[in-house]
Amino acid sequence: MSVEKVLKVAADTEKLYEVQGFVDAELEAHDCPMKTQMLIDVSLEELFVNIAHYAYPEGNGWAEIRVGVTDGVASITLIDGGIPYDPLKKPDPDITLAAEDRQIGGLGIYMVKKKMDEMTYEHRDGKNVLTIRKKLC
Amino acid sequence: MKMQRDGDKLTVFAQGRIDTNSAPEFASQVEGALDGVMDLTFDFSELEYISSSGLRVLMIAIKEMRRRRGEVRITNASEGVYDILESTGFTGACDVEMKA
Repeated sequence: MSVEKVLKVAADTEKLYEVQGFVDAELEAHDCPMKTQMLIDVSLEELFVNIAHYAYPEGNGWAEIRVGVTDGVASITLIDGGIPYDPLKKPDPDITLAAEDRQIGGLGIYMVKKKMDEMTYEHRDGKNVLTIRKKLC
Repeated sequence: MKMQRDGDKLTVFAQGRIDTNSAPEFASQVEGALDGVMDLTFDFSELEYISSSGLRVLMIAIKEMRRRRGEVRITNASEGVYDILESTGFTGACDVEMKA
């Protein structure tokens, strides 16, 4: 089992590349295939940007990112101290509709749910704790 | 990003990453070039990454082309980008072709 690594940053979209670089370094150290890494990076963006945009209406928020790889499975946890929000409760968009009838947004969390092997949420000690897991193959 | 116009045909060559920080620029460039376009191609041969903020721009463009009764397609998507487009229903919304 690898040691979990931790990064704490301001909840600001400008920090996206720092967050992705931090997770990528760990994925690369475990020979993660490029396509899997891209899918994890996209999922990470959706979750981090959600925190940056919505968790702290007053601004000045933070986010903590934890990453670890165990038995070929990457586990990434995002923690924030903002308003409680469970993205898993968000209804899925209907992607089978004709283009004319589809909504233009709402695909971010849906994509994370579809592309990650597991996604869990809990509100713990006044914090949002969201974990995604993905097999590195 | 490069664009090529030929009559009422427009090809948009997206490059690198379309993420939450670069999507607004991508959106304004595409929207600004759609005047009179009846046949729109997104060539993704140099696109490495697209998040939901980029998908949003694509959906707006696809809807607009449908409204005009024009053509719209996505070509040369990498395996990863194709995977994202497929799982979010874009392969049902317009023609999407994977990189050979």
